[in-house]
Amino acid sequence: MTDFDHPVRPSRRAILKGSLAGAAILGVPGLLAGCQPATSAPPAGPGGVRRGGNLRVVISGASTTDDVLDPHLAGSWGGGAVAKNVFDKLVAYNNDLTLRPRLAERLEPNADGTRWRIRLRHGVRWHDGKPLTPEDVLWSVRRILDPANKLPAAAGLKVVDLAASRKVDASTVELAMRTPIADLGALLAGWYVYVVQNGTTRFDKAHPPVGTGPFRFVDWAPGERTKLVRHDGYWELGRPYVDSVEILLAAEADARLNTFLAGQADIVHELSYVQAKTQRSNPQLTIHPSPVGTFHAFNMLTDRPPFNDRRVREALKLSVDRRKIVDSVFLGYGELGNDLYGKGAPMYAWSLPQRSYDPARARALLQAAGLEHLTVTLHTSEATPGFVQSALLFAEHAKAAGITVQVSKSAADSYWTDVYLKQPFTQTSWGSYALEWFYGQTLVSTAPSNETAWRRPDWDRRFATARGTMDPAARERRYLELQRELWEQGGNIIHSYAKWLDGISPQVGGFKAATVASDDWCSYREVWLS
Amino acid sequence: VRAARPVAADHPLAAYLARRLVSAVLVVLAASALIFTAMALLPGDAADVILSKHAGSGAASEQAKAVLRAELGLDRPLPVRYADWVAGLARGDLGVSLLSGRPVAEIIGARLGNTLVLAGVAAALLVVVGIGLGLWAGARADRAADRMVSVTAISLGSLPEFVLAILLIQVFAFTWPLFPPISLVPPGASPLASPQVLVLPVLALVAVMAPQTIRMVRAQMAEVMDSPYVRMARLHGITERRIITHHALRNALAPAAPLLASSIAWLFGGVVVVETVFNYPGLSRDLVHGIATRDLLYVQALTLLCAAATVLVYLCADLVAVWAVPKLRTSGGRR
Repeated sequence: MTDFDHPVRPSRRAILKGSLAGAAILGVPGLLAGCQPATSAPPAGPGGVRRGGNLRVVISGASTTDDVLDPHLAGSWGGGAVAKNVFDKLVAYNNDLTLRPRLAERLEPNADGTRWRIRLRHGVRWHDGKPLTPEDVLWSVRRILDPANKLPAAAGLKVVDLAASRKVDASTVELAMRTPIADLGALLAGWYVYVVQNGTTRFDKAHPPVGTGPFRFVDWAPGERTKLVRHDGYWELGRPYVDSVEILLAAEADARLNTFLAGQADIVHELSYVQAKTQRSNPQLTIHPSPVGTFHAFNMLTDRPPFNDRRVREALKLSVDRRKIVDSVFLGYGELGNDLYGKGAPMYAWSLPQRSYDPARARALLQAAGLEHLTVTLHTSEATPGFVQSALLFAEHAKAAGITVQVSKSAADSYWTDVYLKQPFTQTSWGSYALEWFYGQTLVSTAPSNETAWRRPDWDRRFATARGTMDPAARERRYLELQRELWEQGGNIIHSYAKWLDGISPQVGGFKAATVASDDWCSYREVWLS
Repeated sequence: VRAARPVAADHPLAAYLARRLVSAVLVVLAASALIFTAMALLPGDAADVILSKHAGSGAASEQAKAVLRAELGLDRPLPVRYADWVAGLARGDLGVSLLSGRPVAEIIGARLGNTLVLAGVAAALLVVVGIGLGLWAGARADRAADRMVSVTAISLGSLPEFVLAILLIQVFAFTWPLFPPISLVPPGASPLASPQVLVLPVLALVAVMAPQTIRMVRAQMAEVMDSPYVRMARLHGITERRIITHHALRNALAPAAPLLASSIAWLFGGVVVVETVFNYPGLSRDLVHGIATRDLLYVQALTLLCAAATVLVYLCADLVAVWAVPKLRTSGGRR
């Protein structure tokens, strides 16, 4: 917890729960001023921080063919790490998926959530010295939404009505919504939603990325490494601490760990569970598990037999021994899932009881449905580490309920295109984002990845109402009801939340364990080297 | 009159070479058609991949895919696309990657040097170790030295690449930290500028490939050393050393050349495991990734390059065989 975000979160909570309905204020202007002593020559810095040095990190990433510098397009972990340190978002997620202000000092909705004013931070400069303007923000939204660009964040931002949006003054943008939105920030904090400079269309060697982030782009070898240097005019006073960052890519977990063990990297991202276990006693490597993990699930298409019977769905949910999966697949680096998305996120339904392993009850449900000795085929692949082991364990656990789970393994490279969404019983894994983002992607009738064939017009309507409900308490109640229906009848068997594991060397200071895709994840502006 | 005689009759080797070059070009052309067809037969295409599930996106509608396909030119008939590609190749235009939009020539060019260096060093060591140990063991067939070489070769040869690579890392990077466990090559620099990064990958590759070469050469050598003409030479009192260098060697080498060629061709595009374990920035792993992401133009260009390299290596191997065994030369290369 730094001086920076500590006062922000309580103040936001206080405001949300208080009487200021309709005005979710993110952060207090001038908050930073009192927190950080002015920068000075190395090696002095706040709290024993040392300045200077070249930070080297290793992470998996895209390959030479598909690596891109475009922050609106870089979907790989390595690409995300580069974008995170070169660019800034308007707002970003804390580890608990609440929001923290970045380029936006505040987001202010009108009374019904149809218009949002974005107040930009003063004194932010691009790497080329130009000041940040409302035009930059409008351009970024336009670029993301332009169908010709086919950018993945378009799905998340499609609630924005660009034609009706405008610049209000030199530091204010007003975005118009197509439907009422109570928490625009949750969408603006999405993976890809970086602010790029007005008019920018290309990001490559000939058009090097220019951002507002803590580091300037210097050079890259696609699929191999990216070199960044400190942006001296960065808006967060005193940051960043290191002079330069090198982001190395290695696809394989052992190659990443070996890069670290050979002294070629100071931070190794994305350790495997086995590595974390074997390196536990290594004094040169401190492991930081993410506060919240990525969920792992089995998905049933609820419009296909036998999964169209809600008793069958519940029986299968009761036939997974979640604790065993967390212990033996994720070696303890995980948490139990409760068939609900967004553990740790705002609006998550903590009040619903944790579903347990209850084969006797599962058997009774199947008996009632006339489907004793049920046989189902679960389609798995090595597309994501842990899928195959979880599927095999599930097959073991389900035997006790009289269910035969036949595990069918497909090729990893074609799983997402040929199997997922096509076979009735598959596997999936998603990072942590706001509930409304995930619902829009997978649960509304028109969702692009409706992986459980969850098409309920009534549920859609109630979701639209909930996401547009400005009163936080009422919104929370509405989200609870939506989640209760999913918990009882939904097609996702979300059995675990697997942690993301980072390892750091003893020379690294200021590193914070972070939830994937949150602001601190792969952010090097607070890191220093001793 | 000499001048009136056809060149072929006068220079059987030149005629052989010309014939082989023509057939090499035809083989590469045929390979281009085969590669193109194979890529077209794979299920799914780049539009699926670009619009499929990755962080934050989500599977796309058929309509969105159709639009993207039209944009990438994937909706045109196969013969048109093939003709287009070959015409581009003839102009020296390899096209752009469907995934990143960067020129294929630039993507391949960035790593070609690294692959050539790794393949070149490994091939050189393979020739020395494979042939050297094979000859040495073959000349001592069924003696203790031969048994030791053979048993070692068989044991090493039966280990999968990744086991060998991990063993080498454990021993030579961690137990005795002599070489880096990872091959980081600064972008734009040659791996030869930091030769230590080549040591373990080259050792792993040679350990995988050498056993079959050793056994092949050893068997040939043992057979030759047991042949009537060698026995005759011994009876004439010629020294064993001279028998080996002047009489046995060439005959033992000729059959090993094609085998070496296949190993060297593999070095060019098939060393996925070694590249992955050592994170070596070569072409093989990207090729596999390119196939998985259906990056057609990139995969087609690279596989065609591999096909051309393979044809070239085999051609060289045949020339070595012809050089080694004079009777192949005098018969105009017909074997």
